[in-house]
Order: sequence, then C-alpha cells, then structure tokens
Amino acid sequence: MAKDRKPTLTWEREADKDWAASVEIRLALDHDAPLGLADEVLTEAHELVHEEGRPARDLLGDPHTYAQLVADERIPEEHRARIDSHGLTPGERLTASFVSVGISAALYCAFEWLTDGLWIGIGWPSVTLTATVALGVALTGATIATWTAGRLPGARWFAAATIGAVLAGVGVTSLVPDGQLFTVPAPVLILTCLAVVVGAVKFPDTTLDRWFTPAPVDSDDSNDDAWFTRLDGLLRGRHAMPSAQAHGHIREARHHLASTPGDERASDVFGDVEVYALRLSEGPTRTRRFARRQFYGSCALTLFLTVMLIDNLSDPDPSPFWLAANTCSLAAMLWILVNEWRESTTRTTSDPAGPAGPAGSAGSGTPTSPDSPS
Amino acid sequence: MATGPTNTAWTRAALPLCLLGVLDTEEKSYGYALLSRLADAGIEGVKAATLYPALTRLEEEGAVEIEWGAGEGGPGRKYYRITDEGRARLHRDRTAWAAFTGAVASLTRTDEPQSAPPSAHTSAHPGE
Repeated sequence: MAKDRKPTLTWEREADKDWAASVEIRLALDHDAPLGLADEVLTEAHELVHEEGRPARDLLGDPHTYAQLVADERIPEEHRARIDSHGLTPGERLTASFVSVGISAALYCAFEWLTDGLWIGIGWPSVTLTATVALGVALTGATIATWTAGRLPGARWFAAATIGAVLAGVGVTSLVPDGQLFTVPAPVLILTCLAVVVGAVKFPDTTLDRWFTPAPVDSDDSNDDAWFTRLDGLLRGRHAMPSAQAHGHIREARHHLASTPGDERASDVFGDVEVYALRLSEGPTRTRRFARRQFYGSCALTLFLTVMLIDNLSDPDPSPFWLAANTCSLAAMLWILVNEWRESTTRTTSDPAGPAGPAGSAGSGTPTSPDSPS
Repeated sequence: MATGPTNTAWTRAALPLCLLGVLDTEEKSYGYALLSRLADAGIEGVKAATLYPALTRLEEEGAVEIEWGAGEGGPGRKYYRITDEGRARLHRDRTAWAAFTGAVASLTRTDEPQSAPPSAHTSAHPGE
C-alpha cells in the first residue's frame, strides 16, 4: 500500500486527542496493525466527531475496545492468527527479550560507571553471574516464544532448562574464587550490551518464526493427530485458553470429523489451524483470559521483587538507591496486580451489550472478521 | 435455494440468529446436525470452520449452554441448548432483522413485474 504523508488531525477537545492517541498506541502495540491503518481509522473518527459535535468516547466508546474492534474487522485473519496478545510473533517475542535485557544491562553498566568510576573490575563471580543471566534470559525468551507458538512440550523443556541453568549458575558463582581478574572500561561494556540489542533487532524475525513453527505434516494417518495437537497448543499457548475448554473444542472437532462422510482431513474441514484457533478464541472472554495470564506473570515478578527487598533489608549496610528502587518497584507491582485482577474478573465492554463497533460494525454476537475461504 | 458467492457476508452476519432460531425449535442439538439443518433450509455456504466459532461465541455470550453426551466408541458429543437469555436475544434480533430486511426491500424494490428471476447457475458457495 502506498503510504502518503501522515495526515495532521486537529482535535478540538483535549479528551478526543487523548482518545485518538490511545487508539493509535493500542493498534500499534497490541495488534501489530499494518502501516496506515491507524491514520485511516482516526481520520474517519475525526470526521465523525466533527460532524456529530460529540466527544469521541461518547460516539465510539473506550479506545482500547475500539482498537480491538478495528483490529477484528480490518486486519486480515491470517495476520491476526499469527500474533499473540501483545501483537508479537514468537520470533518478535524472542527479539523483545534480548532487547529488554540488553538495554537493562547497558543502563546497569552506566550506573556502575557513575558510582564506581570508569574502570569496572571483572572477577570469576561476575563472569559466571553474567553468563547465568545471559543464558537465563535466552532460555526464558525461548520458553515464552515456544509457548506462544503453541509448542507446549518444547516450552516446558525450555522452562526446565531455564531453572536448571539459573540454579547451576548461582551454585557455580558461590563456588568460584573471589578476586579481580582484570578491569574493563565501562563504555566497552555498554557498547557490548548495545551490540546485543542491535544484533537482536537486525536478526530477521521471519527466521526466528520459522524455528518456532512446526513443519507441515505430510498426508499420512498421523496428519489429523498432528493438526489437533497443534490446535490444542495454539488455544492454550497463544490464546490463553484453559485446558478443559481447549480439550472440549478438540473433542467436538474430532466428533465432527468422525461424522463427516468421506475421508476428509481436519485441515480440509476446519482450514488453517492457526486461523481456526483464532476464531475459536475471539469471544468476549478473550480479554479476561489474557488478563488472568498477565496476573500470574505479575505474581511471579512480585515474588521476585519481595525477595530482593528482603535481601536489601537484611543487608547490614544496605544501598539507599537499591532499597528505594526495590520498594518503589514492589509498590508499583502491587498496584498493577490489583488492576490486573480486576480486569481478569470483570466483564468487558466487548460483551454483547457493549458499545457499537467502528463504522459498519455488525450487531451483537456477529462474527466481526471477514470470512476467508478455508 | 443456495447462497451465492456474494452472500458470504450475509450468511456470516445472520448465522448467530439462524442458530438461535434452530435451537429454539429443538430441545438441544449438536454442531453437525445444526449444519445439516442450515443446509436443509438453503444456507449451504456455512462450513465447520465458521459454525463452531459462532457457537462458541454464543456460549460465551450466555445465549446457549452446552452439555456433553456420552460418545459411542468415540469422543463424546457436545450439545447446545438455548438459554432464556438466548431466547430474549432471538426475539430482539428477529425483530431487528425483519426491520432491516424490510428497509433493504423498500430500497431495492422495483416496479417492473418482469424482473429477472434468480440465476439458475447460482451454486453453493465453495467455502467461507
């Protein structure tokens, strides 16, 4: 699609401007919207708001929900079927892990530079600890990417390897001799961390995605089993569906296939497995499912921050900076936990009685995405 | 009667209403039987890949409830039953649909009595 210059929209109300910004951000971050879609949608919304003379929120509803409806209606199913709740493919997930840890490590090195000077001492404990963190992050990223790719057994193996690597790393770190081996200028370490970030960004996500996507199965007797296993993995891994519900869909699909005359395969009857998994998971409970998953992740992070804070407090000479940083982080996480719990237990506006969708949205309960041949 | 290729969007839009309508006439039913009922009524373009997601959505919205039946040497069968909420929605949507089709008819009506009959070669649409 030819991309024209981004239109400059002038919103008369500050609240409308905020609403438009929220829609644009949600489309970009949550739905990996194609270039130009947000501009197109906001231009339409701007016209409507201008013509009606009413606030955008009154006319079009909550920006988060509106972005979801736009994504459902205007982003092709095939595209949406391959991304997770954060709008990322498995490869992009892995890249995001390395980018996050690279930036965090660069900031940490900069902090050390400011507090301890240009030259940073390197000893066996720091070498083993750094190796442990790097390996732990790589394996954690692989665990998450494999899980969102719907390859659950692989994800379990990566999770076990992560725990093993961290425990081994901590054990080795406590055994290696103390003392300095050599010193390194802090900028070199910062540049090394940034090189990791650049390397992660430059590495093609499509190659990573290929690593995480199972190869197509040949048309033999095991074909349908592989298709159903893949569907189960996608429903539970990518779409955060509870096991019982996912298994119910599998049983129903198997029953349908058994009732179908002829020897049609599951892929003939139900189509592309990723698209079918998306269709089954797009109901009004989707937001709550993802919020619940997010809540569990936040619980683990809160536990980690609590342990860090206890460690700070039990130190006879605690660092005021880290004490303050850990306390603030823990308080923020508790606040996030409360909000995520609320979100995971309350019905959302995408329920049948919710606000009208974007222009032309179908009525309650109508599948919102354009159907494609399958 | 068969739905033509251009009617896919109509079929999808009306599918939840049709499913509620069928379930309202039966104590309970299951996916394959519902598909047959739709086909018997002339809505032949619906595939399993569209039907089950629509039923799942109706279930999540509380319009239908599910019940598992015992399987005969295979996986158990999942039955759908319309709820009171589903009946209320059916009545509401039926009225809205009638008003909508009436409006469309009023806009597309022609006074020419010899208007062309439906195309004889209109065939069931290959898929959704």
